[in-house]
Amino acid sequence: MNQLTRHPLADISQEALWQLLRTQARKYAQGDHGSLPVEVMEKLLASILYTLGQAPDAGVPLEQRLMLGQEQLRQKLRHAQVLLARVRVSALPPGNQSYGDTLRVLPDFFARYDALFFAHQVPVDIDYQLFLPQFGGEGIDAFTAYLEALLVENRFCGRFSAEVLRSLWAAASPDWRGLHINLYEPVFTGALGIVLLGDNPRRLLFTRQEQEAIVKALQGLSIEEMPETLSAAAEKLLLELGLKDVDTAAYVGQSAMALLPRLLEARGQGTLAYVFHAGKKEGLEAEDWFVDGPRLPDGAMRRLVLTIRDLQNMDEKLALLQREVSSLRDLGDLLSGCFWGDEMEAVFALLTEPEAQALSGLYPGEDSPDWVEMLRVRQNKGE
Amino acid sequence: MPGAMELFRGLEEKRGKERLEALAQATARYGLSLDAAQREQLALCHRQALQDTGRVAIDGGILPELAFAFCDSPHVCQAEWAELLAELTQIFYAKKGESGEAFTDTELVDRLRWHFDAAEGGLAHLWDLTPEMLWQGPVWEPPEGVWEGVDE
Repeated sequence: MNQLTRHPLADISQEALWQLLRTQARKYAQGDHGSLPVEVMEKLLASILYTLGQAPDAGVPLEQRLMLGQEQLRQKLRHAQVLLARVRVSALPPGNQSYGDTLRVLPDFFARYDALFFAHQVPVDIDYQLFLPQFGGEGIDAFTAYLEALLVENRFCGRFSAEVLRSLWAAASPDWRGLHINLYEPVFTGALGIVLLGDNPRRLLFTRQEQEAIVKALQGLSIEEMPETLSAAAEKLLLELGLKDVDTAAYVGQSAMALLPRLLEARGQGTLAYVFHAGKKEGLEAEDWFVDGPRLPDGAMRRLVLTIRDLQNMDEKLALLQREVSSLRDLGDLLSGCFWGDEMEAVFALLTEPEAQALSGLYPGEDSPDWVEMLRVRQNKGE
Repeated sequence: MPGAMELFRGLEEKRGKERLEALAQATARYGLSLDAAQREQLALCHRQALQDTGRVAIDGGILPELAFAFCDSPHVCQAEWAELLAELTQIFYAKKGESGEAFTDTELVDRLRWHFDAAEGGLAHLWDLTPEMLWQGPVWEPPEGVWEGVDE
């Protein structure tokens, strides 16, 4: 049995389909080639089947149905462009490499998408993983499903301030900037955990004591009670955060159910504390828990200093810092040598609360650079 | 998916055989003919060449183009005509794949023809040609009238 006979479009005439494939192959070859690699032919066939599936069988000739399908694809492309614009305006605070890279490549889809010959393909590498993977679908349908889910995750996280989000991501994973993690997951589980405590999820961050209370609350539930409790918590979460749209409600509800097997397994293994990350550090000094990232080699550091000094645009300087610097000690050196006046504030704004605390802790003496005092003043204001 | 392509290949082969019959008549004026058994063998050989190089014909195959391009070469004779076409088919599809689709069919056929004449009919030389050598080398230009009377 070949793919064609298994396909939902199997009722269409094979002869008409081969004729259509030949026509498409000739258009693709532009009269230059009387043969094509088998992989190209397979892709052309997959694209034809996908495009025909976009248009209902209205009893029209196959070639006309293909054109109707292509028109349908063009409409979906326009919708996807609107979705992408929404994703970009609701983007999460910068910092995570894979999220940032993905946002940068998403617009390339529209330049690369080939609705005529390879409509079933998604011609961009989407690096960033969603909390709920969007299975199934091809071409523009798969791309749209991804954008819709990403938009919901953005909307959800957008209910919290950048600083709070960064603190939570750092607590969930110290190397959150470089790792391939889903940024929505710790936010969703954290907010859900607070709801389970009976509190308002808007604060998002909780202490280790509260984390233990969440774990206890879940351990006290029977397996039968768990789905209902999570589902009710998800509904309350939506209410508290003022998220009313249908897509977000569905996604949050599904997220709660997707969390269930993980919670049950973690409960069985006594590792529930690893699911709910305590983003608020109480009673601990930064140096007690903070682990600095690797420092840049001398040569790379020198080149970075020269590059930052040459740059005029502050956004470019900040983007370079986020991309290249993993160590707070390196950041301290760069602050001393490459940034002045108001620029310091922009750099400080990149730091989570624990990072800022750890950075100022690196310079305890009286002969510390001027910016350390500025950072301490900023921290005191925040408190 | 390979099953689907096999079905398509089968239909293309039917078209290829029809074109081959027309070709045999057209090259007869150069004293080159192909009997039914030879045509059958050439069709099989063409199929094998496509399979070996992972390609699918979309216009009945390259045999007619090769035959028209080589039929007036001084290094071609009736006794070896069928064998020559069979090997040229293999060479053509191999070079097509090696060059990564850099040549159109016409460009490749004309370049092979020039090198064939330059090597005084030596096919081994054609096998050794790299895409760069084919690209940089001279190109055979078909004399006027070679396609005359042939329905493409």
